[in-house]
Amino acid sequence: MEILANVALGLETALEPTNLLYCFLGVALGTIVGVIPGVGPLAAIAMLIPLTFYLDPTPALIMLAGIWYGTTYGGSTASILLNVPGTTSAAVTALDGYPMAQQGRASVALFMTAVASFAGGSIGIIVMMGFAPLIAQYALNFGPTEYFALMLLGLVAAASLSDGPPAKGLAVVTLGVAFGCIGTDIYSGAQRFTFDSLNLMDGLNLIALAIGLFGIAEIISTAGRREPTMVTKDSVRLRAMIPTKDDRRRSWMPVLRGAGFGSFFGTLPGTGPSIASFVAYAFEKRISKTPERFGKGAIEGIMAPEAANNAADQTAFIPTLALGVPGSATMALMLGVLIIHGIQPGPTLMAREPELFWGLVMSFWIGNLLLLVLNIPLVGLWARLLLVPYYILYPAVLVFICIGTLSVQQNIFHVWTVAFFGVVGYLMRVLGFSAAPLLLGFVLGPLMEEHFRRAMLISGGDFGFFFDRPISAVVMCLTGILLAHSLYRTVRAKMKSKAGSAA
Amino acid sequence: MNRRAILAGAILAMAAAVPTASMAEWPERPIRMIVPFGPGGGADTLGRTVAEPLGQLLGVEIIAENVTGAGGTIGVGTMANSEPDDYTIGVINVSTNVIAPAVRDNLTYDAQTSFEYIAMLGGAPTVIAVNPDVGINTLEELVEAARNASPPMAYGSPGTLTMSNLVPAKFFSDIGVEVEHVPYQGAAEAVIDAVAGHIPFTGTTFSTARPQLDEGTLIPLAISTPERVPSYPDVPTFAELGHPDLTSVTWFGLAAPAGTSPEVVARLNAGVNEVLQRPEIIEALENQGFIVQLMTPEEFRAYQVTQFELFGPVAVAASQE
Repeated sequence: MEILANVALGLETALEPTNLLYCFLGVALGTIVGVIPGVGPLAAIAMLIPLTFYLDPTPALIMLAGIWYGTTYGGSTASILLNVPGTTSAAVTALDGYPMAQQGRASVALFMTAVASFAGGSIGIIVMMGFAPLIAQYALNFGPTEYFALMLLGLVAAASLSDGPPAKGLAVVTLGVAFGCIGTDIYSGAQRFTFDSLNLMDGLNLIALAIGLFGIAEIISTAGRREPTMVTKDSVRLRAMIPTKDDRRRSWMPVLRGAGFGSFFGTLPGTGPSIASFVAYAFEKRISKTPERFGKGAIEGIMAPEAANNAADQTAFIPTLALGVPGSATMALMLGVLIIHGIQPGPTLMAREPELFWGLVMSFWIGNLLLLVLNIPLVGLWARLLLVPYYILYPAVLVFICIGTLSVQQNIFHVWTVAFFGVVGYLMRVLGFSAAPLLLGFVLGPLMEEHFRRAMLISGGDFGFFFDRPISAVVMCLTGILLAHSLYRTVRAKMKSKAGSAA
Repeated sequence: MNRRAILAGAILAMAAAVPTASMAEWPERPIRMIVPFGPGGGADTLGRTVAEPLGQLLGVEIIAENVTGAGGTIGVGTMANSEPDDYTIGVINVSTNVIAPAVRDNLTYDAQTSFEYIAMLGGAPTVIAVNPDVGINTLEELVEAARNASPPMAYGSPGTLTMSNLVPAKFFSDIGVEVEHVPYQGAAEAVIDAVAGHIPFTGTTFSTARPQLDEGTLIPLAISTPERVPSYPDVPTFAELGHPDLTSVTWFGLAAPAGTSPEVVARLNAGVNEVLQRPEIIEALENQGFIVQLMTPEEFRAYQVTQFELFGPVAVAASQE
């Protein structure tokens, strides 16, 4: 019954008027920040840190956490409506969300992602309430070999992200890996492909790359054609957001699976919501009986990643609070807030500061409810955006993209990055390459390299290391099975089509 | 252009010329402080913690501006190449003004000639910490274990060329023992792998390791401060273990573009050092893992030079590994 007492304590803290106010402020601000392309949670939280010096630690953390998971709700909005990912973890949502919007189903997509986000968030919170210390200990078993094995599995699963000939998909993944190599090598400090430019030393900015590849490319290609819009006044009425029976039937399992992936990846330091959403999407496409629907407005393709990134947002707090080890830069900022207030993070934080921990966890429930209530009425409003003619909407979007990317680091270079990848994305479209694998190669490639080289350094160059350890051995075997399975499927399909043409 | 515009322009030009003309009035407008790292990071919180009371002391606002990228060298370059108008200052640190000048040739400034060094703020010490299951409790035992290990013992660090890499690197190279350096993407990642036992020990900033030291999930062997840390008196320093050169921290300080008036530098130094002696500031900084150090502008410049001589060669060696 300890959990009940904790929940009661947490609710009492979270429902205090001040905490409630800051929770609301956080999630509202998070939604806005999420919608604006270019400004992610890290930038928003960093900008607000000085303000939290004047708050008690609990409301400060509740507000910052609200921004963190609030952006994930808002991030899907621009992805679906404009094909411009508001945050990195919402980049995959654009793959099927934007086609849905073009088919006049923007309201359904927005409504369903809000629901998926809520469901994913809830599952993440339940996991956190029940098993935080246990999971934190388990996550410690993941060393460089395990991470490498997971990334490899992710990249192999990602091969399914592209349509058309596998060679084209592979080429694009490789291009992504190559772009990911730009910057300072973390092992030697050597400059790779930076052409002596200071701006390239930190590597390319992921969100700038994603916005260019999807958003700008979209804007360029619309400029060339006269778009017969599917969006009518009818499609933005409130009734239009009610999903069909088929939508509901299809959404159920992807949400559960997505939340599962999200809860898992969220707890691993160094991975988090973006990778969770990529993997959830790739997995849904792979197990689907109709993978050809993906990329053309399949509802599973928005439900799984949105449930995943929201679940990961919540479970990302597990290593941070239960071990005192932040899993990402954003979480490091949150720990910083605790430290500034004289609270030492660490494994005993939950026992030392039960009010803070349980108050924060219960504020997640309140925050997620608020977000649901906040976002559903907004669906109609956002969807109405699509009624604005392109020649007015797109210049405005471009301005927002420029301001967003510029304001984060005050460096004009990032705006040029966006423009460059806009052109790359457009050329890829013209030549029939899909852009999603590029993003995945860009994210996973450098991570794989990092963990591979670390494992090699620690083991003294022994490849057997990957199979000596149980978790990584299992994951490596899974990867092998997956590869064998796709090979088998390809061969069988070839045989069938041969047999078909012979008959 | 009408007459009024010309007149306005003339007045503006005069106004701009005035500050340098009448030093006694300084400061009469807000001071711009360039922070070369992102908001929320060590340099940023440290800079802001000092800037606010310093501004109150001087009677003007000090406005922090984050110009980030390339390990801080973009922001420091922006500051160094600004007009020395007495109203531009910036945060510098060991990496922008000692390590980067030693290993890189694409900087837009010269650590010796482009700056007026104003004041040292403080630094985050490096600590060598070991996983308890390794069964090592002193630096001596670690050296013994590392000497006999084959393949060489591996240690983590928050990244290549960070002080938490260079302090252990210099220590082991000074005593002639080979160890394998495993860099991470940040102190937190290195600490978690040491706690989990994926690497036997790690060099890290004291503040990141502290929760684990409190828990006993990591054992501290030595810390790189000149004297023991008052709030953590059980951890011996490298100096008392016979390595006086390893009193080096990830320091942060204030500087201004070369050519800034000496009077302004002196007044800023006096202001900073007054602020840094207030108990509440010392405590706030120590909570964030920074140990305050007071220096005159001359001492600060001399410190930069000795640090460069001590760690420049180590950094060059580490970057060519």
